[in-house]
Amino acid sequence: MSSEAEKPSQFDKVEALLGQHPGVLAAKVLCEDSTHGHLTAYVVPRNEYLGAALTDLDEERKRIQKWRKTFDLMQMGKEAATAELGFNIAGWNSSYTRQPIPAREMLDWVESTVAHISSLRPQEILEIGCGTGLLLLRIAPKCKRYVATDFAPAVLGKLRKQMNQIGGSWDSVELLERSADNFDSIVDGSFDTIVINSVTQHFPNVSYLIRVMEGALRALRPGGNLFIGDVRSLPLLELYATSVEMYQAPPELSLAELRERIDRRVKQQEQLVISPAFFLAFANRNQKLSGAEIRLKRGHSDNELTRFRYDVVLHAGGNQNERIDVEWRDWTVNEEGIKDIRRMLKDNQPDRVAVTGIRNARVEKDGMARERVLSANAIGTAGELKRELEVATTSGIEPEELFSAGKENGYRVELSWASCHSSGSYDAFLSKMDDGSETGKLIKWPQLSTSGEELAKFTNVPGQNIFKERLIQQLLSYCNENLPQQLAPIALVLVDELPSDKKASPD
Amino acid sequence: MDNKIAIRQFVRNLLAQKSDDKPLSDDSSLLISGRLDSVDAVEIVVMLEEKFGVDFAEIGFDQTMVDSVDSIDSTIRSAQTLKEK
Repeated sequence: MSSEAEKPSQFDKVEALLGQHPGVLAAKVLCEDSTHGHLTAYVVPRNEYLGAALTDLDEERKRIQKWRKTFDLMQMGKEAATAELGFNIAGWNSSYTRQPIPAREMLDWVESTVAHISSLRPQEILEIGCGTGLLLLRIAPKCKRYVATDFAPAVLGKLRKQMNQIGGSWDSVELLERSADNFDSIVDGSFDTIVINSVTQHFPNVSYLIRVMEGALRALRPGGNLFIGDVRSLPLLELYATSVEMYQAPPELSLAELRERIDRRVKQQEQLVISPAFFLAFANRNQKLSGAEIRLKRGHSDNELTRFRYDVVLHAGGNQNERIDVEWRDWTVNEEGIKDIRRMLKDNQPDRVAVTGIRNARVEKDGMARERVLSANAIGTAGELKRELEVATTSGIEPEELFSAGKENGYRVELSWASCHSSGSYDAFLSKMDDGSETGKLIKWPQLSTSGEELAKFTNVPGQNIFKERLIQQLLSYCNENLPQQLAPIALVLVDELPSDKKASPD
Repeated sequence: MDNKIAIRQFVRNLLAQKSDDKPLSDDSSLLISGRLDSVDAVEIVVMLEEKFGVDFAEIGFDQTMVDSVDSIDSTIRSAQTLKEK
């Protein structure tokens, strides 16, 4: 006799009631206390509900104020006081070491970002969240107009000081103190480039993000570009957590404990972490845009910025259907190394090369660590795992090497993360530079399907612990209001997966 | 007035939210050790401003000023001494 057959219909009643609640994806009721007949409900929550319905504007405001305070505080310390002119990187700390990221790596990051934005040929820019001016001070001198906003007054103060110290005319620059979702007095279609760099991770939730992007789109003129940079990748969140916890783990830590630490880091995430699918879906649903390019970070540094973050370019103009169809080859079939690719470009000179699923050397070992930690019999210690990884053979390709190989042989190289693989693998398209017909045309990249999904599905929920508590209380009250006392669950637990039947309840 | 009692309670609460039940002594490092993060640092700062009237704009801010129960306590005392001047 299966326990399913014995399950009383009252449990179905409770589960059905819970299933009607907008915050519930699935529910299961078990009686784990046969003495008193107390019921426990297990619920898989709907993330969209957690993020959107359980927050209010007051909550949002408090979160934003906290971030503002964090940035103002960073400017009150020694690091900011002794910062190099034009290069105030105070507060940029490594998640691994909790110490400042080395200056040469930050310079690499700044210069790659400036190069990317400059390639869009901006003339009239709106930068939302300009911070201490790492980009502004380098890009504004080449532009006709540069409007920059930031919500932290101490930070804008430091920027003004730097501009005065550098001297010269900054007539084209206008600084506005305001939060990212404030577009007052910004005229529709008045900018050819809008930059939102390293800001999205501090937004309180997905609705705020959508609001800012919609405001940015209104301010953008046809033919213009919306550049959203340094976005933290949601598909790679677990890989990131694995990478950091591995680094910080004492050698004797068991793999089981390491796994708990990784899970905790993911769940306690206070920043907004976004999947490329969000931008693909947003672009898809907006007539003004012809799609979203999801680009890996350029640069030779090896840190959390190049490993787990990406840049997005949304173009206002043209349409999705004008994109070129390309025949893609699966990298995992032959797993070519960079030497093979170089030789192929040099000897065969193909018109184009289109490869999907290239293993990403930047995060290959993090991926191996993750597999070991997740495996069914994960025995051993963090120290043993680290030693294993040190000597493991790798087959992934470093993105910068593809760019070099392309450059040396006369090919334009484009990489994409639109496929959203949680392994960090990427797709590459190389085209011969003298093939004029394809310059500037966008191609159809392999991408995760987003049709029918809410945008909220493609981000995490910052500070979700509070919302989870709220949802639990809400659901318990909801049950109490709609069920007779003996059926209302006494406890409610949020889970990722429903538990299997453990005990059948007595009648 | 022993502010440390209130400070310890506040810090224990922040640690509890991170499921950190390791021992806490008055000189245990909180931020530099990574037990608490920058979001928690802001909570501590806001608490000091609201409950103890500390004005960080006046005295400047450095992680070390709030890195332990002891340093939080001496930050409060320096800020109060400044006020009395």
